[in-house]
Amino acid sequence: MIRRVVERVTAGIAALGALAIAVIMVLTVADVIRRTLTDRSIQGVVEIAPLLLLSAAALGLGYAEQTKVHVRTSMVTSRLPRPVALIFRSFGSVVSLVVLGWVAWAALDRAIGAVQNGDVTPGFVAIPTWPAQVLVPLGFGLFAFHVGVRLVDDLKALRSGVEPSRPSDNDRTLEGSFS
Amino acid sequence: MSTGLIIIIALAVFAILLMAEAPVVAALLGGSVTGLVLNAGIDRTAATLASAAYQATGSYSLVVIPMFILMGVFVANAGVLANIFDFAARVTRRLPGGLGVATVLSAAGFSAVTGSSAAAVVTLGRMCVTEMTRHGYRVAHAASIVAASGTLGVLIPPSIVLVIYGILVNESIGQLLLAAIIPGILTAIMYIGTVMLLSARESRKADRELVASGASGTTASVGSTSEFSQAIPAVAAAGGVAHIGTVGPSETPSGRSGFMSRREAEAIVYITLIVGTVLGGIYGGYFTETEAGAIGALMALGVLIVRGRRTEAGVWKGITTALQETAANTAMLVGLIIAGSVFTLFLVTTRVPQDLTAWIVGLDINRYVVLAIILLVLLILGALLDGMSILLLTMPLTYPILMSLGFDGLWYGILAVKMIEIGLLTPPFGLNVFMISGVVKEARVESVFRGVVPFIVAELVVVLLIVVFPEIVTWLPEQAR
Repeated sequence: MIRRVVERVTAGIAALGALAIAVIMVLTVADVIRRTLTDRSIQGVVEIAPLLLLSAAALGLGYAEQTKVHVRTSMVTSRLPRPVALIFRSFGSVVSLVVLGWVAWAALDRAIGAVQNGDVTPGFVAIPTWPAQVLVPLGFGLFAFHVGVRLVDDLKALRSGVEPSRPSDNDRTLEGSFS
Repeated sequence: MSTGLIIIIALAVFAILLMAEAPVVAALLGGSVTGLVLNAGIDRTAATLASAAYQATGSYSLVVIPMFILMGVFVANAGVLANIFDFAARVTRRLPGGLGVATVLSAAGFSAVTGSSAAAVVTLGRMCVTEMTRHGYRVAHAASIVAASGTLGVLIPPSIVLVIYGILVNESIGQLLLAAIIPGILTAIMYIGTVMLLSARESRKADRELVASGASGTTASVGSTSEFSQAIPAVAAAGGVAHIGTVGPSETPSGRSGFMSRREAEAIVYITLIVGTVLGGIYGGYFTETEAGAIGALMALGVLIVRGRRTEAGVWKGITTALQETAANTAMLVGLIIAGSVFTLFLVTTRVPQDLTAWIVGLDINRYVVLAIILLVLLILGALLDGMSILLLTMPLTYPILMSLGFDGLWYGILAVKMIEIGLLTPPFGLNVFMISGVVKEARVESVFRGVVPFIVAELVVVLLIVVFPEIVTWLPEQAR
């Protein structure tokens, strides 16, 4: 029940990220059109686009883990005996959880600083950077949360002996990847 | 602790996490964080992690990534690829291995609007393999053609891998995209040649098997299209009669056999317009690559709106799934870039890139030997890691070395991407092989790995040509300067 709610929330947050990408597209094309017609750019597009990208990426990090888009390989674990594979995978998840949690915590520290200092972009147009920076700890936090969900699944499987449902190793040795 | 030992520990942590099925982002961060803590302390590591995401994504040129992804996904959801394949199949039907050639051409066309090889394999997979096997290709042979053709997505612009390379080493992304055009076409030509040679061989083999079977009452007239002749053994074995003609594979049940249908013409016009605008805009200096990507994505959205009504999912679902997919893939790629930036910072604190470069430049060996060693390392890594991870791990070390030896950055970028292409086909990791085996269940991984060997040889020939004639890469960007 809780998991389903969190999955929906994660998908909703990612939808906001998708919206940010659509806004980048529209703004960039509008900038080209205006420059072509009037020889003048829309002020602030170059400054706001990377902030929107950071927002979109942060908002999508949890969803990417939920939908198994993040690259990972089962090249070794698929060849290990099942209990050993689950323990090894759990070890990987615990370390990932710690690392991602640390990134989220450190980014939160920076985001609080950005809000307090009223950080702005250094370009021609001063745009506040804190809205995008605040999303970074949220994104890495969600990413860590979904790694935690995977860890719980593996530990449950280790106890019960029932394999958690996920794509077969024969289907995909490498999850994710955009290569 | 010596820096050498710290690097070994950091890489070991990365490798162990990778083997433990941790996400590459977390594995790379884990290795880098371990190294940073050992080399610079906890406070400095925390400060690096705090600013990593913001610093790594501060460049406007990074915005091109979601734009190129969006463009590709919109086009894929518009369902134009099937039309392109149909047309290519009809044009190439009289060639040996016509359907295989059509698959390569379709992949090249699709690659020109998407920067992902995985997308090309998944989109082409079921459709092309079904069509080829229907006309007598062995499943493994058909699947290996799709797996190899899919690698074109990594090189033919707009290539996401090239964009990441440009960002990592600070090379012009526009110039890189232009530099990839001729090598991309050359690779497609080599693949076509390989398909034709293989099909001619398969055709002769099929003829021999037919003669050897000596089934009485079985007749066969072999036409010029070898894929049909490959169907003979199966038909003959069933005691049937095989008449191998020259009927095009895309001929519809209604019997339409015109040169090009309206929908095929539309599909080709759409793709040509998008590719022409994106690459023409960059080449002509009308837009930056980011702007070209945004314009291409908007045009692709237009195609999806026009064509999406005829697809199963419809327009609205096509748009929403494209946006969702783009958001997830953008997050994954930007996550890798952030992790890569932390890894680079770690390497910089150890001064290893500078020291290694100085040491290698000081050695009295031919620079092509150094290049060969680096390419070999990339080739081996390609068999173990995915392309993006290879770039993130190796470019901070290898790029300065090769630049100090006087090589061209664009040229090295294309060679590195070629190595990644080959890595998509080599065991044990060959992603494209696993992808096609996932999409087409009948295609066994081992058989496809065997089937792609001639394509790997073709790839190596292209690499050799690029090394011997760097102009293949550098000529077009020089014209645009």
